Amino acid sequence: MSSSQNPPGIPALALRLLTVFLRADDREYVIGDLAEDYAVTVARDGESRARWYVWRQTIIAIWALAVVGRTGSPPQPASPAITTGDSRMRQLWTDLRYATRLVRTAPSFVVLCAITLGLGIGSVAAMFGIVDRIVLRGPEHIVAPHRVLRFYATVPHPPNELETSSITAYAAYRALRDGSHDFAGVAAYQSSSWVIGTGADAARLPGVAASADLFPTLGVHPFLGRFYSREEDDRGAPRDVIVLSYEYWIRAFGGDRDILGKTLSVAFRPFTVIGIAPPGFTGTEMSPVDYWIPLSAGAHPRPDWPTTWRARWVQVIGRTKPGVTAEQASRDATRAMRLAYTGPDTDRRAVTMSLRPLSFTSEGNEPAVTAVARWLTGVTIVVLLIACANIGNLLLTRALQRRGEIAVRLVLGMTRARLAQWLLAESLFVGALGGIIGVAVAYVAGSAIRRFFLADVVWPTSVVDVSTVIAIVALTVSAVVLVSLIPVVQSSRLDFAQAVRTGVRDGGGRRQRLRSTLLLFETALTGMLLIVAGLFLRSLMNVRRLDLGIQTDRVIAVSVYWPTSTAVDSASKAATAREQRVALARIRDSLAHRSDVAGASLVIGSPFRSTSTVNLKVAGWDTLPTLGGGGPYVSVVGGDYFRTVGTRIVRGREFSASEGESAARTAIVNETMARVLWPKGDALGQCLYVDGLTQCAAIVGIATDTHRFGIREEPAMQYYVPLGQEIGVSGTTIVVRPRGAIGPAVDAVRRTVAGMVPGARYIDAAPLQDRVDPQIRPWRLGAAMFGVFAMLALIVSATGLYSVIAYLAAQRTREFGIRLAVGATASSIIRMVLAYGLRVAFAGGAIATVLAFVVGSRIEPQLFDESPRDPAVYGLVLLVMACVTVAALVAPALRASSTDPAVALRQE
Amino acid sequence: MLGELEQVLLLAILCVGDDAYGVPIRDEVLARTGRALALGTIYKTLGRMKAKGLVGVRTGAPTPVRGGRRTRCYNVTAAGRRALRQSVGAIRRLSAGLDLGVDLW
Repeated sequence: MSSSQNPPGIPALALRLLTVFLRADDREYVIGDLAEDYAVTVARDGESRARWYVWRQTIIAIWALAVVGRTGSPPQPASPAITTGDSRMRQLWTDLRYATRLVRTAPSFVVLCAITLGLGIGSVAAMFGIVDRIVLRGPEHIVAPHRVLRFYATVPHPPNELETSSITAYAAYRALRDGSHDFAGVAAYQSSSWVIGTGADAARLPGVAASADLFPTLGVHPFLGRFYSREEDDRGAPRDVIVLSYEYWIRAFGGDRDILGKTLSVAFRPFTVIGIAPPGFTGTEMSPVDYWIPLSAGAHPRPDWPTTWRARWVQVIGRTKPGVTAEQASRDATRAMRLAYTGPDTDRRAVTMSLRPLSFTSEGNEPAVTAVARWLTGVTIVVLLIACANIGNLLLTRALQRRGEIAVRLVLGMTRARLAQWLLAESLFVGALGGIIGVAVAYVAGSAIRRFFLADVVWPTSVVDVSTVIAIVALTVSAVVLVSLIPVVQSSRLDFAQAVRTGVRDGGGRRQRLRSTLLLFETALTGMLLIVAGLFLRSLMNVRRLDLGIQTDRVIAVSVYWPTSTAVDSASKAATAREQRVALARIRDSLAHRSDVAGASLVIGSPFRSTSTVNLKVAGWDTLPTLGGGGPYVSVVGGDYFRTVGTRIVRGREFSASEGESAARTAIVNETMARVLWPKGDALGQCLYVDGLTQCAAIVGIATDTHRFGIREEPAMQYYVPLGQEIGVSGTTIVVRPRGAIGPAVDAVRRTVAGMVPGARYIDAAPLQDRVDPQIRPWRLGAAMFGVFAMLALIVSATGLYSVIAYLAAQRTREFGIRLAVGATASSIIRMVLAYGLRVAFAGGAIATVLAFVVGSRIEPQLFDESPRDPAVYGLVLLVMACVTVAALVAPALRASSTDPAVALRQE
Repeated sequence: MLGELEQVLLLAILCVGDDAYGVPIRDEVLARTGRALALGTIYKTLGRMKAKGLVGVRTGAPTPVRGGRRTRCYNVTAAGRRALRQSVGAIRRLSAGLDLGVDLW
């Protein structure tokens, strides 16, 4: 073969298939003939017909020579001969060859089995691939990842509250790095996004500011160039250097190797590109990262960031030394932290450090998506179990059909081992078909899940990778062996004499019980899945209906990035700030007057991005009470703000457009603040002393509570002061409420603003909803996936029900015939068949309810404001199941009722 | 008695003569009977007949159009001729005197 060149025309895949399937001596002349034939066909019919022709010939040749013709023996009966002399392998091969004939002899059986199994295996495989990525494997390129963990500080707040967070001070990083013994490496980082590039090409891209020891701690090596050193991350004189991710390098620079040494604008400062990270490297998290810069070159919360304990803004990870347990390392870290802490917070002196996996949230919890993925894996396994039960039923049914045949074979001397092997071969064949369908299902389902639900996770591998394929093969084999066991055991227990006599007809009580049990098992699991899916769906609806206090889906937030100020003295700095304020006010006015804009306003402290707290004094309170959500938070807002973002003013009034300039200071508080501080309901007209001022800001209105960051958060006190009465916060955002659809409006608004401030370096315009969506995703993921898999389970178990009932009805033809002959009516026969099916469905529904109660209490944390015992969901699901059951029963029941007694009795 | 396809192929091999491998056999059958046999069918049937000793096999010369691959040429063995004679003879005897609308041989 190797000496001959590839013949022209034969597709490479066809050539491969021929090489794999044909024996070497057959291969040569077959391929030769095909090549010769191709040449002739091309000349006569053209290339495309010729290719098609060659494919057809290839498949027939493989079928004829490899599948049926290998032994070169004369045509054989549809099941194996009762020989015993052959070797085991040869027998198995022969059996498998016979099994392929099932496609011809029992097509509906094969199709039902293969599709059912394929759906089951495919869904498990798809979820396996996803869980493997987001739960088991973690971020790419980390050496010995089980030893790389994130530090969490748990601080006790009297009387009995514990606060756990991974966000900490830079000083904590230094304490952990320099004061601990159990770590081979400690690194700090801050995930953020900076504007990369300038002018029209500028874009805000996700990046990480990390200490230089991040790379050695993770154990990653650069793809090109180098990572930055500790000297370049020096706190005194940071070097502006940048490492690009492989993906960003390809995307933005087409993989140009000359990029090293060139500069790139990061947050409007030139950074020198020194290295490219390896493909798929995303640091400690799994969301995409486009670049890494030294921590000291990034954005800092305050000038004394290297030493202060007051600003918490970085996360710290560590690699434990080999042989050190996480508990030992945690104790070591706790000791180091308590020793080093010199901050003002006495609670923090009693800090306890712990180490948790990198995938955990900053509050130290398992992320919602991981929990959902784990539950979904359970769900897919249940679906596979349902599929197995169904196939078990189908195989059992088939074994019964062939009872007479099997009995004859056993009587004629076929050993039971041989029989088992024959049945196993059939199951393996069906399993192989199911496996092929399974790979296809896994591919489709896996890519859909990645695209629609886990778009923010980097997927370095293909949807169906090697480990998934191995998992599929293992699953196929075990599932098939499992289900084929049932008929094997059953047929080995056969009573010859009776079986030969009664042939197909009698299923026997035990078998019917087993079938009913399998059916019950399927129905119960399906019902449970449906209930859980229903709960998730309701939970998603609750998330959607959730009132955030702000209509995030109707509001666009616009930020303007000004050119770096060249002013040196404070007077000209103030002048620049004043100019910018005027420009923003002008933009707001012009946006507000557009016909396609319903409202526009300005805000400092934009929702779902930043909140501020400043010193606040309230008459009658020495210290303000602290609520679960923290605060009190302050926002500085322009006129028309509340109407623009859709926050209701429940009492009093909104700020007027000119409020800021008037001498009288005013404020608006949220309902929680009004209720907590003035329980008697007399908040209007009370005084707030904001930011150390002695002048009273009178409360003129009470607004509904709004969410600050999350869709799930505790209430907090919040108040608003009018723009113009400046306090110590900054960072103005324009909020715009378009009249029409929000999507096209975003671009229009961005262009309008860019036209009005030509000097701006970057205009960031996006719907507020974009800031909320990532939080909704886990719920959406759960609801969608549970829904899909539950529907799948419903389809599988409905086919199961149908096939079993139809078979039972067919089996009892004789009985029905006799009944009809002695006076039973058609409707009573229908009632009999329906009654059996409905009994199974109701029993299954009852078990499903119990199962769902048990599972429901476990999934409660994944549900959003939804009781796991919601009677509406349970009721609806049971109703759906009853409907599906009746639908599946109608055809078999009708068929049973139309039995002709004479035909039925003559059947034997 | 030979199968119908076996008869057809044995006769086709005899018609083609020395270089009777897959493609010419297929062409011969197509030209004379109008039946388009798949190569795979021909291989399978000839393989079976070889096992029964009805045909013999010899390896022919490679050609460029075949990508340098050799042919497998078939010839009819003495047993093959005997079986063919019996089969065709039987058909002749059975059809003797019947008007089927065609001239049989």
